Amino acid sequence: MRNERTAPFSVALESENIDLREISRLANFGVPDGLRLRPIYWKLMLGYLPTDRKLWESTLKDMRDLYDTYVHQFFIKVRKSTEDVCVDPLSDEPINDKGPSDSAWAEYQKNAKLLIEIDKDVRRTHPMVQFFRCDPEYLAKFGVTQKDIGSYQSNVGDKSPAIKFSSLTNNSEKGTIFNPPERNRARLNGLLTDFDRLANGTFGGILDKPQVSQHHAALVRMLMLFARLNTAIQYVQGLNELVSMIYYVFYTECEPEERQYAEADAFWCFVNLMSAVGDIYTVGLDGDVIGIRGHMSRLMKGIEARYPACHKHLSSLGIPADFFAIRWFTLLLAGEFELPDAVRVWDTVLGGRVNGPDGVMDRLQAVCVTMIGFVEDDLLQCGYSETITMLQKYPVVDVNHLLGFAVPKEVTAANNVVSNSEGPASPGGVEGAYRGF
Amino acid sequence: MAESEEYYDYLFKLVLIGDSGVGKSNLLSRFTRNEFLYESKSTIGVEFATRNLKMEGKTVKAQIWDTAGQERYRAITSAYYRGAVGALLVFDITKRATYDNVDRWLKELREHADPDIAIMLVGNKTDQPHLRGVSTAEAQQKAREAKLSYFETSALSGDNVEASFTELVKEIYSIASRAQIDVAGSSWVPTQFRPDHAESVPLGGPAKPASNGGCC
Ligand SMILES: Nc1nc2c(ncn2[C@@H]2O[C@H](COP(=O)(O)OP(=O)(O)O)[C@@H](O)[C@H]2O)c(=O)[nH]1
Ligand SMILES: [Mg+2]
Repeated sequence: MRNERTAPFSVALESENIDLREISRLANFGVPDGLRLRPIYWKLMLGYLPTDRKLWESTLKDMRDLYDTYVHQFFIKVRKSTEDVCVDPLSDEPINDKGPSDSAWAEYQKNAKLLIEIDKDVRRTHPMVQFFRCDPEYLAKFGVTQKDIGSYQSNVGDKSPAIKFSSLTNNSEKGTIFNPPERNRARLNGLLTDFDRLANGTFGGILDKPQVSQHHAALVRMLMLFARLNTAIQYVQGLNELVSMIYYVFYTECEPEERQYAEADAFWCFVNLMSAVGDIYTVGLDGDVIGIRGHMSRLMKGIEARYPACHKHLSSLGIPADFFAIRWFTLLLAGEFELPDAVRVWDTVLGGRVNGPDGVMDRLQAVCVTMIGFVEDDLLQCGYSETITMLQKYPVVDVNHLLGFAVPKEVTAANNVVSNSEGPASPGGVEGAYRGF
Repeated sequence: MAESEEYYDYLFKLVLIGDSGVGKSNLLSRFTRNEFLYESKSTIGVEFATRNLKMEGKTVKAQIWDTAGQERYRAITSAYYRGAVGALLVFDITKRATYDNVDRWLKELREHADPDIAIMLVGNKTDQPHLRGVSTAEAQQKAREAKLSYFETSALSGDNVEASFTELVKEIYSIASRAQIDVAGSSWVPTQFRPDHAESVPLGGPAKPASNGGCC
């Protein structure tokens, strides 16, 4: 049974010149687990690996080198600007918007703010997934002992993977201490060290909180770099979830000796993913059909066409897509399912890439519409709060089954023949049915 | 199970606003489920939870909306202010910048919310007194000037969480029950006579028709 499914996939990936449509079609049954094929499939779908296998080695080498260069240059530069601020007598100024408009100071503030903002979200990325949780071996490098971890966790309940640094917090328990200059000096020095460590790969976390694992440092680096390279989007909450999905899959599913490259590969794939879906993150496009609002109205129209009873239910209750679909789109559904299921959903969604530049968003639309129909019977029984709750905390479902409805194999097969993405609407299928909205 | 069977006299829609990371989601989970997650996921878009409270023998259903604090999401979540009768404007007492932003949030409310919305300023994370960056007196002063009530809470320890939400609901309840008497039921129809989905009625005005789906 297993071989029936895995063999064609492996074979398709081994051919000299890979047929993207064919592997996308095969992936619609799910990329076989346990064979380390998924990272390759995602890299192909995200346009990182060329279809010509002969070019893989050189492509990977170039891109990985380039990433290292970028990281190094970027963080050295950031470090330099931080240093300039530190020798500046103004360094005692509190970190806020009212500082002098000196360019080093401005640059420093920008970087510091960004780092703090990103770090805060990376810290709460997949907090329940072991991979992203506290790694005692890693923390030991920064002088954090198992005992620190234990005592901190018992303080805040066992859910916490974070550690409190006693050095910065034990100076007074007496109550109101209000000493901004001192705190900000410590903060500046701390950031200087952080940027150093980010540059040389030993980043341990910001301020009074160390990173909890090497993976956190990798995520922070990727997001910092992306934010500075992509000035239109910079950092938006949710990007942490996207980049961590890619990084997680690359790191955990590659050959062990490839793990060192998971970060560089994930970064470039993330960049490519953002070129496919970045419009929904772009504030300037909110009112446009390709922006997030456009996608939410397209979703409602898709629901109306496909599941009119559900559409009627939602509109009679006064529940717009805003109440549940912002996160669906922003996280490409990564937030609606447990991690392994979300990965499975992405196999299908990323496969949409073969249908053209909008293919990924089209697939996402198809899956979102199907998610509504998939719970139709329950949904129609629900009142206002229950309906919202159900869609904000989507029930655990069989994702393979769900995806089979969203993008049935006939449609993908048909797309194979009809090179135009407009495949014939198949009986059970959603994808392709709503072009023109 | 069916919601319509659940009895309540009043339905109040409340919103939680404030910068990202100040503890809005944890205040909500502490209040509605008595849960605290040290590393909770950042909120994307809007989230929602409800809890019933008793006021003078009446059941008040508090329908509380939580939103992402990040600038990017404000533009696309303004629909969620519609029909809100109360707002908890939260800042983090250990992060001055989140307090400095309170004025921007008030402006946001003025632009998008009902003018009569009851607002409570909440300084969260009092379990970290050694990191305090905003004094109680200072925040109280600001609240007084803006005519808001002020509470300090800790979602982590649970301190004052119940009290702050309850106080806000009480404030709204007293206005609501007065309004009901004043206008002889024309604006405040007890909710059991309204369809389940009706949004709570903005103070001082008749019920707005429920928005149609489709949004945008
Ligand atoms: N020490 C402390 N930490 C808190 C408290 N409330 C929230 N946090 C932490 O602050 C971070 C952000 O909390 P969250 O509720 O997600 O904030 P939101 O972005 O405003 O929704 C999380 O790491 C929480 O664990 C509190 O009362 N005390
Ligand atoms: Mg939140």
